[in-house]
Amino acid sequence: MRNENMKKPNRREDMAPAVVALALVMAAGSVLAQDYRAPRTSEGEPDLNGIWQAMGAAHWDIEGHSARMGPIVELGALGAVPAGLGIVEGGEIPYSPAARAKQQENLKRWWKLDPAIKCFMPGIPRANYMPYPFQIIQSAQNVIFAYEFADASRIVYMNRPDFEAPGDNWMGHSRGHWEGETLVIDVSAQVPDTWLDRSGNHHSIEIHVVERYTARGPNHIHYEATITDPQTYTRPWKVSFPLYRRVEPNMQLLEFKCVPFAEELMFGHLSKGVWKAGDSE
Amino acid sequence: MRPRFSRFLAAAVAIVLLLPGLSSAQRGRGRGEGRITVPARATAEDRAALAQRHGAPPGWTVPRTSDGHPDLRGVWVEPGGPRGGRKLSELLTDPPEGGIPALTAQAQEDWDALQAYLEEHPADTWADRSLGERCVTLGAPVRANFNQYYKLVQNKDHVVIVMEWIHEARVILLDGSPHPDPDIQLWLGDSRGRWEGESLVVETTNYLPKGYAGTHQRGTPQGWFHSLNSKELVVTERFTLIAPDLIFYDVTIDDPLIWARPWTVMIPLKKQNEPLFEFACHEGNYNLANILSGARVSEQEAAAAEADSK
Repeated sequence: MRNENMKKPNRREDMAPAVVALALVMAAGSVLAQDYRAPRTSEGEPDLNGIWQAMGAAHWDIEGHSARMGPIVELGALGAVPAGLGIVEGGEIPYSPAARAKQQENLKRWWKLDPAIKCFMPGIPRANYMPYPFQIIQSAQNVIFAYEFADASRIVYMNRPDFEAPGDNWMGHSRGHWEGETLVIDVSAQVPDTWLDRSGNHHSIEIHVVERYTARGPNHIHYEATITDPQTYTRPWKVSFPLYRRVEPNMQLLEFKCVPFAEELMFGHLSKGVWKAGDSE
Repeated sequence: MRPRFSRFLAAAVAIVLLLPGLSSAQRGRGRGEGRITVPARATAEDRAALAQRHGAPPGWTVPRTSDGHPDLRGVWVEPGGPRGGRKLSELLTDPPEGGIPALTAQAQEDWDALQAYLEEHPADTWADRSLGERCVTLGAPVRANFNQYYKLVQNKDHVVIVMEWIHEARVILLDGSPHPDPDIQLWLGDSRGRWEGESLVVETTNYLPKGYAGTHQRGTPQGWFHSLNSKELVVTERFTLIAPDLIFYDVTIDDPLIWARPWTVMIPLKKQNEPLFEFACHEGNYNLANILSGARVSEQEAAAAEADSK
């Protein structure tokens, strides 16, 4: 023990030059990334076309968290929750006390209550950090987001700030514009029924999200979303994380049409006899 | 009530209402506007004449995107619905003598067996109901006679067809990449497109062989694209902008395990000046629960009546 304690400062000293060098490299790298100018589409806009996916454990819990046991004993380690640093700037969601209490209640039975278990559309920003790829297809008047999960999709109406939402939406009403290298999307009119992750983090019908997509390299988008919802949070707050391009050869979006995976859960109690996995679906 | 909401109501009941109308599809014969199509070798003069006949001002030329291809962007609808639509057979362009082809012997046997099963078990479980009722998919290609809105968005390497019903965004790749391994099967298939002259031509393979589940309905399978399919299905679609607000949409169904021969229909797609709404079908699907619980109640009542009569 003692020896180890003695060694620690020395080791840290040994590493100091390397740490400084690494910091310099990272600083230089981030300057370069900030200055990155994306290739242009034929319509002259930064080209974000591609298939993108977030990495990490935010889909389990957007706040920083340790690994923890999952709710289903049979799934053992495979059902456990991996640790994550969190994507919330400042660490914690600024809930009102009542809203935090509701999140804690949600968390106790998240696997019963999370709407995504039923294959409901996940809403924004959650769709962007689920562990499924999504595709951006750009065109001057519209940018399309096609999500593999639940076949959710969004039509972003570009440069039409006056086009109000015709109704409330699970995936929101998206109006976009370019600010230099950044695609900015104002997402309004979301239903209150979606969650932000599998840990009961929630919002109300007043949620308003402003997303910013900025290419920081050929295969990397910096994503930020500012979330405002005075009914749930004491102030606007922000999530940010990288989106990575899926660079595999011939990468394409496949289907995760999950309705058939949730129907027995949702409707099985109304069946006559027992439906078995492997039966017609 | 806004017209779009009426349209939704119409769509919601159309699954049921359309069935009787289509049951005689095979007996119909190709005729009328459905026979109009764009000859593969149409000259510029042919096109101009067609365009003018369909409302294009004199001198109209096909608008182009910045990539130089015909600009198909916009919201399109196949004019239809229970009362406005034509039977699929009326849209036939091939076989030229009309009549949607017969099923192969095996497909007919499978279809009959499915019908017999569903007659006995209309709602034992959710799996007995149609894909539309279950909000899984209405399928691809573009459906005839459903009053469905499609939004086309395109750039150099992609055409996306966003379908209002079930919010599917069907991404068609134009980059020359190949279809994936045949073992990868998709409800909407895998679509690859290319420009052939003035037309966008899309070939779709890799279909899940479950299309039959989409019909779970009475009548003949000839009224629907998606009534039956095997994994051998190849669908070829041809989108041709023929006038400012009109696409001639030719679609060929080729599935040697199902159909005696390939067949082609032409569906005119009309441009709309309305946005798509989000159709959260599954999220609001009380229908399926009600069908199943209703079936259980009916069974209990029948059992009680039988007990009383003894």
